[in-house]
Amino acid sequence: MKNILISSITAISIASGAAYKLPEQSLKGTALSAANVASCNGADCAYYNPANISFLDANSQYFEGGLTFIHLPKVSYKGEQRLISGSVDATAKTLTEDVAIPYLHYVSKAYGNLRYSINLTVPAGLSKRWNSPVEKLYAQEFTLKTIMINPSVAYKINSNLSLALGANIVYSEGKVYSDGKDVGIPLKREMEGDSIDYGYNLAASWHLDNGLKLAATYRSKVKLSEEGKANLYFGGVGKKYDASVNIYIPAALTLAVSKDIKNWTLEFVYERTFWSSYKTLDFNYKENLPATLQSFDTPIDKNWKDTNTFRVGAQYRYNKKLTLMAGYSYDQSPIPQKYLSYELPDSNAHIFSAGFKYQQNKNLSWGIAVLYDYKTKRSVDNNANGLKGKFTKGGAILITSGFDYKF
Amino acid sequence: MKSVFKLLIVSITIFITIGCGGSDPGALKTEAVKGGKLIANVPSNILKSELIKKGSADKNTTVFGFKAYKIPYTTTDDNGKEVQASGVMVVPTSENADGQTIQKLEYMKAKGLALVVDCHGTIFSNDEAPSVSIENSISAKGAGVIFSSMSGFITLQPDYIGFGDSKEHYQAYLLKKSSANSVVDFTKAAIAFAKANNIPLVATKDIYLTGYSQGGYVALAALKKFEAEQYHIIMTTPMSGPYLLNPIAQKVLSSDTINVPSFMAAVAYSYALTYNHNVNELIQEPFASKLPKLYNGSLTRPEIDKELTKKIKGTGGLFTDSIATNYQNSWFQKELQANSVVDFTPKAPVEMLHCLGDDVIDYRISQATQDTFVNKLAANYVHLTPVEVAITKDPQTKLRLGHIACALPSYKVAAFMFATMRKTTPLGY
Repeated sequence: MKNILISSITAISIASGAAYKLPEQSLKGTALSAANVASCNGADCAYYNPANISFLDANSQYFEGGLTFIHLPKVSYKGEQRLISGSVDATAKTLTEDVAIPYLHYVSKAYGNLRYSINLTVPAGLSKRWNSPVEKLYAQEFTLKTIMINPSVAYKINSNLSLALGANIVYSEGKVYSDGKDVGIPLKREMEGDSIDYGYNLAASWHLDNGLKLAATYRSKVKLSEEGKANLYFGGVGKKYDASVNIYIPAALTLAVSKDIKNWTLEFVYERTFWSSYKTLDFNYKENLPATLQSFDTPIDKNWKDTNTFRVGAQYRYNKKLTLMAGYSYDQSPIPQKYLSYELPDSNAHIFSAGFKYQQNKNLSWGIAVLYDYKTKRSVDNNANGLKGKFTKGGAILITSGFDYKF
Repeated sequence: MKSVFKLLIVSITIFITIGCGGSDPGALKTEAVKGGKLIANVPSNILKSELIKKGSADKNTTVFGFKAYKIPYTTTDDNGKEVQASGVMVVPTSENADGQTIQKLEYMKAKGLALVVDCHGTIFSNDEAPSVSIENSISAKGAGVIFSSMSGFITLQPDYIGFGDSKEHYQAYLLKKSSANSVVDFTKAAIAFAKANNIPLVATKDIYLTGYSQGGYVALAALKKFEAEQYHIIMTTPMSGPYLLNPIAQKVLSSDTINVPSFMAAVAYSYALTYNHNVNELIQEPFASKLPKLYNGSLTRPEIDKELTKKIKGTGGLFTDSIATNYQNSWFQKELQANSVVDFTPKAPVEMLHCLGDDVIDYRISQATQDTFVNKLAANYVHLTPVEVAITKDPQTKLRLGHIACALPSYKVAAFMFATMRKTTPLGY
């Protein structure tokens, strides 16, 4: 049972946002490229902007559930890899990834000026698997799975202004496998760990009388302190070690503005993601590793940079039942060229999305959205990890199917 | 409100359920073997590049990789007590080797591989025991590399009683019976292991026996037992060993100071426990009370030396006045004499090696040993070569190597002698 749950609920080894963030957490989130902060008006406010729940119908409860199917095409690398024995051709492709991830959002009735919400989402995830000789030495499989419960409370200051505060409880699993046998390096690693960690989120919404909506949200950094076991091998001879590593879901500040114009709602979002807290990837072991395995204990420089993301979304109410949506965002990669590596060959992205929502009856609506994440080509040279070449292709295709229920 | 709680319960149940797993990659996938454990596997390319870095090989040198197996064995100590011990078998491999090296090893394996039994020198820390140290390091040194990777032998290295799996036992230090038993019993276990795991041992089970320092002493003790049990010993090369314990102890006790007190204190401690005497008969306080802790396998020789004194006797000295003045009539002298390993007539050739510049065990000990073997015990072939002469090929060389510096060149000379001797056997390679 446990395995079924893990594979179906946390098989979330993806990254459709920059690096390993996953911003698409609802039907509208996917359809609008996550430009759904100031204008959100359903259960998914629980995630995108819980301050906005104060402005929903006070006597109703809201629920949204859905699934996002994610297809990650192969990433191609054409180039060389520097090894101790010299440079070798490392031209190869990753394996494709296909996963489905769920989301749930709930917003309560109002209790005076207070109202609460809760959501179950997947805020981050990563999976890169290589089956090629050189890349396997570094990232045969590099996976991070997360799942977050995020209860929030909103307080309506007045009919225009609301503030919210929430807790982020994140369960994560990490997996790092590598194997150098095919390039004559007798090192192999099988490491898995998990962790429960905490963060918080803040939100403020200001709805002006002229239809302009302003919002600011902040989600804190969550340090994922993965603890588990590592099977480390030299020449096929292994030993199990207690191991740990820290990975971060970065803090993010979002500033959003939206405006209703006749049948249209337009939104612009600026997001600053504080990736720079990710300086090194440093695996720690409870006991000293022998000389043969020292390379597994050497911190890997990351030195990621803070990034900017710009999102725009448009909703068009075609009639009382049908709403059409589209979005675009430009997402910067936090990874400097010098520190790019096989476990996450990331690059800047142009994201295009569209979708619709259909009001089935006064309580139920449903919809489908699709998102295409186009990753730009990335050349790499003078790289700390010994890469010299170019990453192409990759990106992501997301299809979200979800429903809203208001009662 | 009910629905909210339902949602919460579902969410938390999922959360808790998945939170209980995923932190262990499962069982290790190390290759399984029958009757032992694979503890190291160093491919040829890795070892060769390390040897080239150290200047011990060049690109044209044939370097095999090796696999090391830890093998348990049962032996008996001097008092007849059964001891569960361990040792290491190092087997040459051709993993990641060039075509010529692969071909060469295949040829040797087809004809069968001969055994080198290497008896290790004095150690005090269990981390230095062959079965422990090889697991923690692949540094390109040690008998396994010299005999197996550079010369194509299967190397056997027993952990003596007191190390490895028998670390709870006190170290049976320079005790003839225990030493011989552990080497011969381990060799038997290793031969059975080779058979069980299809390791291509030569059918005649040819044995080349060696060891440095304490290992030289152990090699001669083992040779006597091997020959008594009709093993096929091709050649023995004892190196720089304290074969004649009595004159060595006599010399130490008549001196004022000793550079490395841990050796003689270990002999005293081991003999007192074995022959049921109080160690205070030999060692003064406060040192006597410290010995169980100093020799429990957690400390290295320099760490033990720091806890002892270089002064031999008198106030604050290491040995009691009683043993220093009455050594000749003591039980200690009697047992040291009885543990001399120069008490039989070797049948197989013995090529002794010793450095003229040895600062710990005098070269004259080997001269006296050879003299006894040849002139008193009528041995067929016991020859002594100064290592400095062997490596310079100059009988008049002025080179002098101390006990520590002499070890590596001694092993290289022994490996050359063994490989040369192997060509004269039916193996012929």
